Amino acid sequence: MKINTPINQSNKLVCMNNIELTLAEQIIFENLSFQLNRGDKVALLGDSGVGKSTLLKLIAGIHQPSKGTLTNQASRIGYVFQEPRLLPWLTVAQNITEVMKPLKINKEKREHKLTALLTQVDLLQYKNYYPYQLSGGMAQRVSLARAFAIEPDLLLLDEPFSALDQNLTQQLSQLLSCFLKPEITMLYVSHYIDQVLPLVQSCLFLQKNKQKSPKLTVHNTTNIAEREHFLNQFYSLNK
Amino acid sequence: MMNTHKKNIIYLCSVISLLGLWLLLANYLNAMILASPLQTLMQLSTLILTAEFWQQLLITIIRLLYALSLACSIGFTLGLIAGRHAWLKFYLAPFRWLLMSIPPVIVVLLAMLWFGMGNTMVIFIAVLLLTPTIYINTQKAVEQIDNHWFELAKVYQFSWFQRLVKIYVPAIAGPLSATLIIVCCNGVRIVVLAEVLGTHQGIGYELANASSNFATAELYAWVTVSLCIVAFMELVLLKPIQHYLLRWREFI
Repeated sequence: MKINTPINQSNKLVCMNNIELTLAEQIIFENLSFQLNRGDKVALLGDSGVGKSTLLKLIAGIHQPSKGTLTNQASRIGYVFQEPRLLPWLTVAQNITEVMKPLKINKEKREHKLTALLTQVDLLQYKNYYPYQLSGGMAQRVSLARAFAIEPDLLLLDEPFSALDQNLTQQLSQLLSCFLKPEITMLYVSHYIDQVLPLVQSCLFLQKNKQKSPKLTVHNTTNIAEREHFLNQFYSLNK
Repeated sequence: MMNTHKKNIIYLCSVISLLGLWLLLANYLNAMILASPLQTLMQLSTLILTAEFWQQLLITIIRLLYALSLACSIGFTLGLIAGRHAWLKFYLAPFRWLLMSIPPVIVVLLAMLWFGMGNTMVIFIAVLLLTPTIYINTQKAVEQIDNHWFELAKVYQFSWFQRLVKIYVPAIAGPLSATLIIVCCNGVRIVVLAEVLGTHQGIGYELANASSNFATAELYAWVTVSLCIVAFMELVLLKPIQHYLLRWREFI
């Protein structure tokens, strides 16, 4: 089954064709196809354990498909994991500057960028702190700043605020919308549908097929009310 | 956490206990068997005034440094690769078993046969006997590194040098520093043993000389020198490195 997001073909950033992914001798995805174009903001929704995070890892190149073709033209991928995933032996500042080093940005520019990012996430005074000295919300803000430090052309968010309370999630969602530029392509996995919807143009649904591995369906609309109606229908059908 | 002052007092008490025990035993035993701490100290103060003492000490230290550098480089590199690539771990397993179970004296005899007496023999023995310890500890520690860090490194396109310095080394710093202390202590023992058995220079040779001449005080003076080398390496070289690598843990 092949379902493409209805967008301009020439501008595609990620393209998956009949992908099969096998992990630990178990087929996770079979005949999975979709594509993301530059500037797309897409939510990836689905039940727990259906393979949303695995799909992000596949796109990020962490997993390699066993069959099919996966083309990813993004040269800079920003990834915000479920947990902050900050290197515990590096300070906040080092965690952010370290990801900039492979981009050959000179030290002065790195420092300038670091200061700007930490000011935006309101953590400038914590730049020399180690991750263990930060709260969960602060650590996730650093993780977000790190993802944007590389000026990503593809941003992958894997339920980044799932471990935080509602207030913090709202704050961080606002922060995320401030960081987002039109040219950034985003694939956002979240259970907080209300928070993800204002940030995206379309939704991808990863569904468990009873006989086979998960399949993707797509709903593309800019109308939030219409989309919410679709989501309600989708979730009531899947209950 | 215990403060530095308290730690130093405990260290001092331990050293005093050890010296007390030595003194007690020296009073009961014949001076030919066990020299007293004072006799040893006097002999040592005489020795350090001679040029030969420094020459012999330097020879042993150079051999030790060569052996440790080679053993650490080989063991760490192989352990790092084998920790990430199971094929190398299985390939090297028989070599490791062989080297870890063979009695050191056999290695000494074989090395004497192959290389004759001198530097090469001493360094070869030390490298052969120390490398498996570094290898196995590094390999096991690398296997324990959380795969999350490698995913992070992959996504953010870390260079191999960044992976080495920012992920591998800090992640295994704890077990690695313990290994380095063991290896440095064993290194001194192995180098001195090899020198006793098959060289005409170095601390081991001086020890063998003192023993055959029944110069007990000199023998214990050279033993004290070996202990000082171990203490110097652990306290002056390894502790600061360990402290630097594990500084972030102070905040946990």
